[in-house]
Amino acid sequence: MLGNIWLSSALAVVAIVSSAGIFKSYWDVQEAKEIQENYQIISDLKTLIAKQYGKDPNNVTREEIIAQLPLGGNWEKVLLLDRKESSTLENNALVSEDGNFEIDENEKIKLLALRAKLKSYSNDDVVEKIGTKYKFKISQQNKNIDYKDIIIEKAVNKSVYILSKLIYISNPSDDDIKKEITNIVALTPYDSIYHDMKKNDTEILSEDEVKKRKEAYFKKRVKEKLEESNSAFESKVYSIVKDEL
Amino acid sequence: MKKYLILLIISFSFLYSDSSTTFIEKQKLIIKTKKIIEEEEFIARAFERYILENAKIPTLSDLKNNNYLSTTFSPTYFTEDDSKDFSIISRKNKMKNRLTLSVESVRINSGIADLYNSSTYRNRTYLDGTEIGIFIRDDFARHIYFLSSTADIDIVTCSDSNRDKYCIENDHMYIYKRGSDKSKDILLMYYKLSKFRTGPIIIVDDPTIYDNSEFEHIPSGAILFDIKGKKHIKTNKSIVRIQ
Repeated sequence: MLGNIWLSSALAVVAIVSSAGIFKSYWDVQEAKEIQENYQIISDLKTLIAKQYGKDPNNVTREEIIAQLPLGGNWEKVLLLDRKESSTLENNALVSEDGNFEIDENEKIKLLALRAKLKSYSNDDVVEKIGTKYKFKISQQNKNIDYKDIIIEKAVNKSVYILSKLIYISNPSDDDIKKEITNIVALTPYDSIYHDMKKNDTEILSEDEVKKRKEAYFKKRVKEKLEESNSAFESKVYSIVKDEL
Repeated sequence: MKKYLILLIISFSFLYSDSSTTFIEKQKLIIKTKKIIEEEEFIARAFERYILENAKIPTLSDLKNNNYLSTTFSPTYFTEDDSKDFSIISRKNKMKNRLTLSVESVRINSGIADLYNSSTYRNRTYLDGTEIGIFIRDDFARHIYFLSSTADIDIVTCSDSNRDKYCIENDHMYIYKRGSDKSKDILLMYYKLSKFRTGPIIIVDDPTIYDNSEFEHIPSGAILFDIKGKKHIKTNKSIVRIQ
């Protein structure tokens, strides 16, 4: 009798522990699937925004992703670490303001799931550790550089328009010209200029030097655009800024 | 196909539940920001078309008709409590910045400010200091803008007693160099509005004043005749006599 009770109790405990274990495994698998789904959705949205608006996917912000989501429903959950009722962007964000994933090192299952997802892209540059947080850059797997040329072209056109303000100033001073040139240098699309800026294969460049050379490259593109233009206005702008560009 | 099917299934799972109220409010504000930018792009296109068709820099009221923005056009604001004095700045290719017209809670929202100020949704407009600038693409529209904005005048008919150094008569633009009074004005050039890009443009027969800024905006390749009938061509650098 006592033996039976003991056996029943033991079986009940084993059943409960096993159920809890199975449930935990199931829950872990669900969480892993959800985080992978979220990655796929955000990655596809960034690619869509990049194509639609000629923007580098790495610079797509969380606000731009939200603008792309349909109104209503539960779309907030794709930006969150889990899909619990109580989770919100304020207390449990997965997508940071710069549009990338941020996961604490304690979230081991989610980290594992994301690493497994990213493995298929064979790209080690997408993960960065800052303090206890891992930062996953999204859309790095997009190897197509066509959109980068579009971004550069868009920035060049905008620079031409901005410089053309100088023709409305009678006899613009050197300071006027330098001010507008500073404004266009600020438009340099550093991430989209994909050239390595080296003069030869063996040259080693510091980050600052690469930045300076990208700015010089961008100014050269603007100057070429002005010089080749058939527009009288742009020719006039060229004559004003050619020595400073 | 498989990928889209998976995305569709995921979509349904999101549709049958609700986001937090805070998120819905945030999303509505973001979508409104996008709508405001789209409206500014719409105004920028109408602004350039108005200049081309009327040879005048428009105000917002000029654009509120069925040829341009429609009579029912009403600007969108971030909130009901925003200052409602959105307009195009007089004789400038700029309009007021609706973010600076908004209430403080919206103005200090860095996500909204970054979105509004960025060029993601902008093609014909840009943040110009504290205002929203309009890119004018067409050479003739730029020319009219140059004449009107630098002289700070509306270009009126030549018979108008208020006419300034630029005026229009019978579909032709007349450009004068102003003398001490109107009788001493020198006619620098005139042309049919529709022929600005190609010519013929009739110009004064005094090469010493061809460096006047008004000549610089004649498109390269346009054919010019001076009043004595000698043929010239406009190049990127100067006006060259060819006959």
